[in-house]
Amino acid sequence: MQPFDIEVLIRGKKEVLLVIPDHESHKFMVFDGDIYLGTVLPMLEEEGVKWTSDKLMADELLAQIGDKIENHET
Amino acid sequence: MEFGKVQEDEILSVNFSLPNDGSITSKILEKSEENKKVKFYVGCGTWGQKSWTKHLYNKGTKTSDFLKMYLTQFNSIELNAMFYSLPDRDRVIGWKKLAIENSKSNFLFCPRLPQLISHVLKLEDVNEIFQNFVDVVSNFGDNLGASFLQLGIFGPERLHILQDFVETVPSGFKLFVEVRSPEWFSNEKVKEEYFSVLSRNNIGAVITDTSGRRDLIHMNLTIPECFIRFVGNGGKYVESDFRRIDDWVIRIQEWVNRGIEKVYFFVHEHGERNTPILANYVIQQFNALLEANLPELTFIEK
Repeated sequence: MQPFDIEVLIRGKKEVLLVIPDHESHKFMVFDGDIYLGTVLPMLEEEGVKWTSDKLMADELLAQIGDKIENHET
Repeated sequence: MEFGKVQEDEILSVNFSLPNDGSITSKILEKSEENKKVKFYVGCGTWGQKSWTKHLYNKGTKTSDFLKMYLTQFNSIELNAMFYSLPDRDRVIGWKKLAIENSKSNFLFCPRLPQLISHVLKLEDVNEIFQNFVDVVSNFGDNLGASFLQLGIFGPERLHILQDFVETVPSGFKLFVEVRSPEWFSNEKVKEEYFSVLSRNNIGAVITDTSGRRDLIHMNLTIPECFIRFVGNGGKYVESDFRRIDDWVIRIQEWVNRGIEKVYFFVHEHGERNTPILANYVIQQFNALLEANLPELTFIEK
C-alpha cells in the first residue's frame, strides 16, 4: 500500500495529512508536512474499530484520522 | 470509501450506464432453480459514523451503541472491521447475540478477510490463518452472510495463487472475491480465465460501482448471487446517485426474473455521511420493483 493523503479538520481548518501505511505491523504513520504526528493503530473492539496513537493526540483528531484511513482502505 | 473517487469536475463526464451482462452470467442463471424466493440484503460498510447522529441515530448516541442502533435499521453489513485483525470467538458471539436481540430480521454479517491474508501474505501460505478465520466467523451461525476477499496489488500473473486458494475454501462457506488491478479487466482472455476459476469453485465475483473505475462493473455472475458495492458521490450529485441506483434495480430485476437467488447490495459514499439516505432509497426501490419487503430506515424527524 502506497502512502496517501487524508483531509481532516483541525480547529475548524482543513489540513492535509500524509499517511504512510505499514501493513505488516498494521500501523500507519501520520505526518503534517514535515511534522510527525504519531503512529496510529486500529484495534478491533466490541464497538468496532477503535484507533489508538503512540503520541498524545486529541480524541477528535484521532477519530477523524481513523475514519479517513478506513474510508481509504475500503 | 475513497477508492475510485474522482475530482468533482470529472464526475459529470463519467459514463455511469451499466454495461451488458458478462458471458458467464447467462450460463449461471440458466442453471439456477426457478421460482426460488430471492433474498435481499442491503447495508453499509460501517455500523457507525458520527455524522449519522444528525439524521439516523439519536443525537448523543455513544459510539459503543452504534452497532445496536445499526442492527435495528439494516439487515446486513459489509464487515470491514475484520480487515485489520481477526476478533476472538467471544466477540463474534457477542455481536451475534446483539443481532438476535436487536434486528427485525435474520441479520447477516459479511466479513472482509483480514489484510494479513489479502495484503500482507497475498494468499501465499495462508491455509492456517484462513482456516482460523473460517472457524471464528462460523460462530456467527445463521447470522453469517457471504465473506469477501479484496485483493489490491495482485495482478493476473498470480491467478494460479488465487486458484490454489479458492480450492481450499470449504464447501458451504460462501466467499466473494474483488480484484482491483486494471490488468484483470483489460484483456478478455484474462477476464474469462478469472471468472472461470471463481465459477468452477463456487466463488462469487464482487461488482464494484465507483466513478473512477468503471472497469470493475464487469457484470459477470459466477454464482447465482450478487455482491454489489455501490459508491455514491453524494453532495450535489446525490440525484445522479439515485439514477444510478434506479439502473441497478432494473438490472437486478432482470436477474431476478432469470433465477438469481440472493442479492447483497452494500452502499458507500465518499465520506460516508449520507450513506443511509442512499441505502434507504435502495430499500424503497427494491420494495417497489422487486417485492423485497425490507423495512425502510427510520430517520430522526427534524
